[in-house]
Amino acid sequence: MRTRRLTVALAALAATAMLPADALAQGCAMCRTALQGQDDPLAVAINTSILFLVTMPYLIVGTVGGWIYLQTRRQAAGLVEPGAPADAGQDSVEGENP
Amino acid sequence: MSPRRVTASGSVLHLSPRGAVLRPAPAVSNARLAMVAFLAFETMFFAALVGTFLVFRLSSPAWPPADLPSLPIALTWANTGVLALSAWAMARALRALRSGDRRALERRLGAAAVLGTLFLAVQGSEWIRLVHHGLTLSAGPYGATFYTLIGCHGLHVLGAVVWLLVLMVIAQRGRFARSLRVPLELCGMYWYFVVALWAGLFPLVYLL
Repeated sequence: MRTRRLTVALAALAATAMLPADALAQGCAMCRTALQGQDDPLAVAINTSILFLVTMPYLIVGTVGGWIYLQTRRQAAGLVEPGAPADAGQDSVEGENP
Repeated sequence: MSPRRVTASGSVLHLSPRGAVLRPAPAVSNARLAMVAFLAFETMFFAALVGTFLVFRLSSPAWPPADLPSLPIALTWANTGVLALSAWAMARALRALRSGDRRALERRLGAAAVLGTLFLAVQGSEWIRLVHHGLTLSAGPYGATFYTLIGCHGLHVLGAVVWLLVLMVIAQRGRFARSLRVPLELCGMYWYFVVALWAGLFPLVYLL
């Protein structure tokens, strides 16, 4: 029941995201006017810079996610010591004090 | 709260009157995860600087401007080799750390620190020469982006060298123990990041 509700909510969210939203995609009028010319070097430079900055979060999340996935698989396969380097440098006992 | 024992591998053994429960360590330790999050932040910081550089570089008809000096490419190639060698020394040091070879660890950490300092010294002398030739921070977008981008990287190398020197001093005072293992591993991660960053910045700023 809970899973079904979650699925319906996610489907509704996805459907809403696909609705046309031209009004939100207009951007700043000044920027649009200044950067409308496709042959303008400044427009090309800013567009390239925007594309570069857009890719970076995906690149970072993908790299970190892939690394964590690989570490998890390596641990599961017994190729690495779990959690190395350990947060605890040596054996310690907690909670024994009264 | 029931007593619990944290093992060297990071697993947690919970002890209670009903028995002991061993919870395995996570695949990625908290320290490593925190370092990765910090490096992700650093990457975005440099991405913003590179984005600014791209805007000026691609919109400029002449780069560098005719009245400003060109950057010393041959010397910086050699300096790049120095930084790459420091990464190799750091990799060897971390290998010595894992095998418990303290002498080799100190020697290789020293080599990494010396190479990092040499990189900074060459960068500094290069900057002095460029300033004498008129390339200053206020010499237009060319000077501003160059000094901001390369200067921020230099500050990060300086931070890595200082971090490494502090760890070396602690190690040489005989306090080398397993407790130093995590800081050294994290310092190694930071060192690799700084070297990898240079591998992206050097072609972008000097060769493009």
